Amino acid sequence: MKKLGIVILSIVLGISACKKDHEVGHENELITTIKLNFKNGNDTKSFAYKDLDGDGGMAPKVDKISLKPNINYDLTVEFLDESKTPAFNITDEIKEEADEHLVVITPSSVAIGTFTYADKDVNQLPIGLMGKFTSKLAAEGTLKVQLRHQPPINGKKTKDGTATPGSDDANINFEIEVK
Amino acid sequence: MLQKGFYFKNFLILTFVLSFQFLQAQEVNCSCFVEGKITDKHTREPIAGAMIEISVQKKATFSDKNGKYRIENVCEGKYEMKIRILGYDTQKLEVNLLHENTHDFRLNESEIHLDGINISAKRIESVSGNEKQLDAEQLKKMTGQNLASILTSISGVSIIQTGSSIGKPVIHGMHSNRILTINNGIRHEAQQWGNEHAPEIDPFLAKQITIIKGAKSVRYGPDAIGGVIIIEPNELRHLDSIKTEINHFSMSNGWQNGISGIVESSSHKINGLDWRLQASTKKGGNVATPNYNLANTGSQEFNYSIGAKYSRKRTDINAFFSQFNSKIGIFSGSHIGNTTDLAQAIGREKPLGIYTPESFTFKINRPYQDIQHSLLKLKLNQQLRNNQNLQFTFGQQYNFRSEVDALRGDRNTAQVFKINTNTLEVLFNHKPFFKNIAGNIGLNGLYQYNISTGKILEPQKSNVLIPNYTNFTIGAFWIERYVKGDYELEAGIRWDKRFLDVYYLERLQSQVTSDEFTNQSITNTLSISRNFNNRLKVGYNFATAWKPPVVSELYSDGVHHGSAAYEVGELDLKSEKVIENSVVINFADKFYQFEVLGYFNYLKNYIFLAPTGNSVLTIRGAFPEFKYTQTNARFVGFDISNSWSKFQKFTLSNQLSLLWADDLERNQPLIFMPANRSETNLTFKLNDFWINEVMLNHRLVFKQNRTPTSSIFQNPAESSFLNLIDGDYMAAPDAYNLFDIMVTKDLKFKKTDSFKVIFECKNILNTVYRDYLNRFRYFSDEIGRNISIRTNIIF
Repeated sequence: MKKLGIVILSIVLGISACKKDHEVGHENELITTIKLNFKNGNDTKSFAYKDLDGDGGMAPKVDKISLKPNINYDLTVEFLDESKTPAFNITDEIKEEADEHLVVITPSSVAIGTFTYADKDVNQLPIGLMGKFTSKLAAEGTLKVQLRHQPPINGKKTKDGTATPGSDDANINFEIEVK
Repeated sequence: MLQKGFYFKNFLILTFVLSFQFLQAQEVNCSCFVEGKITDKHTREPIAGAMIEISVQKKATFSDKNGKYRIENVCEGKYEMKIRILGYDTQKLEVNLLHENTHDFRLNESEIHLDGINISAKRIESVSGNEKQLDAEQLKKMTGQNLASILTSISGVSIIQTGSSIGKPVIHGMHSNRILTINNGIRHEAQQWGNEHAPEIDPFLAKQITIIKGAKSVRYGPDAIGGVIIIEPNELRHLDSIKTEINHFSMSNGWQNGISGIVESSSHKINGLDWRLQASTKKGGNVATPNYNLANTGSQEFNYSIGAKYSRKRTDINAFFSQFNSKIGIFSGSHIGNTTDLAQAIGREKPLGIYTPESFTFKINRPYQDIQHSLLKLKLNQQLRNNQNLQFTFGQQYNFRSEVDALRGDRNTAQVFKINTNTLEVLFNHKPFFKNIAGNIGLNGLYQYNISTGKILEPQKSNVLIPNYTNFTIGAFWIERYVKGDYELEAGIRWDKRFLDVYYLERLQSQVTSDEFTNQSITNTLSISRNFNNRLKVGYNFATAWKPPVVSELYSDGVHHGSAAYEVGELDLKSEKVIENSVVINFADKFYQFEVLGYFNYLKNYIFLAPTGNSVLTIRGAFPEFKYTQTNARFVGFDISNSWSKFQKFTLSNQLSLLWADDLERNQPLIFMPANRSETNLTFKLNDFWINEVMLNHRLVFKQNRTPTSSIFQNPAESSFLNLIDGDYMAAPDAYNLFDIMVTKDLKFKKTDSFKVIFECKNILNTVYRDYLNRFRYFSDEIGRNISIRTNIIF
């Protein structure tokens, strides 16, 4: 019996060797900037949402989107961390893990325009880093840009092409004007 | 309750050094005697005036001034011996005055003997009686639960949960930095501030837990405003052979399994050296509510400790090292990006299908918490002349916590906290004055530093939740206790000073900013108690205590991981001060026991977090803003317990915990206070049956109707995404009833000293409920039925 006790104890002790030296991993990711590039032929208009000092502190700087009516724009979305020099491009990471991400672009009213996806991940589900934005009649409102992070849960994929699963890594509103 | 049927009443725990000797048993065999010496465990002073009673034989005596006693002409048999003295806990001890071979009637006189039974003894912590203990026997029945859940079996203690695996104890409505934990004699210093930071202590190592309900700052220093939790392993003692204890548990909900081994003995080569090794491990997978499973709710733990004691003449040296490691999965459905996510999660009846998988797994994904806590303790106890005694206790602690969020790639660590603490206590127990006054003088020092980024003086990042800091605290105290007849009185005074230096980077700045805070305070205490006929005891306690604002309250500025709140600290916070008044009335009869603890605490500058009504716009969306603020508060409540027992076979008991906590400046209840609670317990002891004990338990938690009605801050400017209901996202959940059953069986084997098997079913009816103090009540129900089996083997 006594030997058994010692054996059990040594097994338990043996299971876990001492923990490695705790290295602080990489720095926290910080999205400071979301950039929308609307391209029509050779004409590209860029609008940005910038919050360089991160959450809180100074209020973010948001450009007002101004588009022409009834035009088919090629829209690309960029996510940057500009608190570092040089700025860190988070868009590449999203591309790498495209099957866990979904960009959702929602105008406050269909009268402003419509967005359609133009890119697909390995599972043939949309990503939303590239798309088409078709402006309609002259109107004003907001354009919501969301980056949904939909990582697998206990090994099971959660991304299903809708915005429902996961949580927001970014969620902002641009003011938009079509005239 | 304690091993070998020791009972606690409410004063103290003592242990005694008794030695039993049988001299000549004559034909009648009534010439046995019991003699021994009663000493205080810590000071080793003899205890005079203790009453030693063998009631069945109608024999009683008092210990003399040297602590010695002798009861003569006791007949052979199995008796219960009672030892009582004011200022210490009453103990019952079963004494078997029989020859080992009982059926041998021709007893050989020389064979009748009992070797010295060593009982160590300890002074009670609190004179007034506002303390409660859980002993090894009670703890055996709760292995596998986290420390805070174990403590909820005590009236007046509730729990703040973050899911099912993270629990923080709440005493009389106070928690976190207002509760002090003394782990193995050392002030536990970790990340107490966060509601989702559970105490980093291995419950398997605890053999006795004492809870002081109320301020105890004079002895333990700042922060002990709401109470103190004292966790102790067994004292190391001399053993001739190796003693082993194995504890195991398995639970159906989450397939949690755990095992712990303790091996202890004494060295044969070095006289006076006793040692102990202990290790435990625990693993559980996804847990389930009555209707669905919860994804990513597994947990793992691995802990070990090494202890040694060397005693020589009047010197004791103790060394102890322990390490606690834990990884806890955070329910995926609770991971929210912003207020919109939160509002949607709250709006759902049950979490989304992806968060409630059918299949089971032990795997822990992001988000999770990874925690390590190490403790090194060195203690020197020097016995001086004239029963005086000097103690040095040094402690070093390292706390590592990383909270890993569900971020992109494998490269992001959400928050890392590393805190180092060194403590030193010097305690001098002076010789008794005028026979009746005993006391001690102590000095405390604490040096602590926290590194969140870079080096202490050179922070690298500005976006950390807790900045780098150093904390140096010194304190001195003096406590005297006077005991005479049925009266006991304790008075004490303490002074503390804290120097806090904080180093951080302002937003977008590379120049280090440093702030300095100095706080000091004097606290005092006065307790008095009186015993009437050993049946009724009345105690009164007055105490003051204080807590300087902690770094999180001063400096928070950011979104709190997982709680969808933007928390803002306040640099102008003043120290919190409490004035506590409590009365304990305890009545014990043969069949009936009654105890009521009433408390009235006034807190000046009570620090709490409240919604401002504004929202903070971030790139992840809008978050409601919460700010630390202060008010004057009043905590009034009662812990009432009743217990009826018949022939020690049947016991019916009830514990009722009631609390009214109010914000006096706004004349409304305080937010996030435990709801009133009633716990009823029915126990049958069946000694000659195939099971030994059956216990039924009913817990009723009322709805918390006392929530704030008006907003704390004056400027609710814009409406946020989320309508706050009484300062909360969701109204308080309904009352609930839970039923548990527990069956205990003691097995007897030749080679084991004790072999206990405990079968338990918690939440028998699979009741669906949510608890007000569970931070995940916004997302999911509490866990459902849980069947467990526990074994405890000592050999």
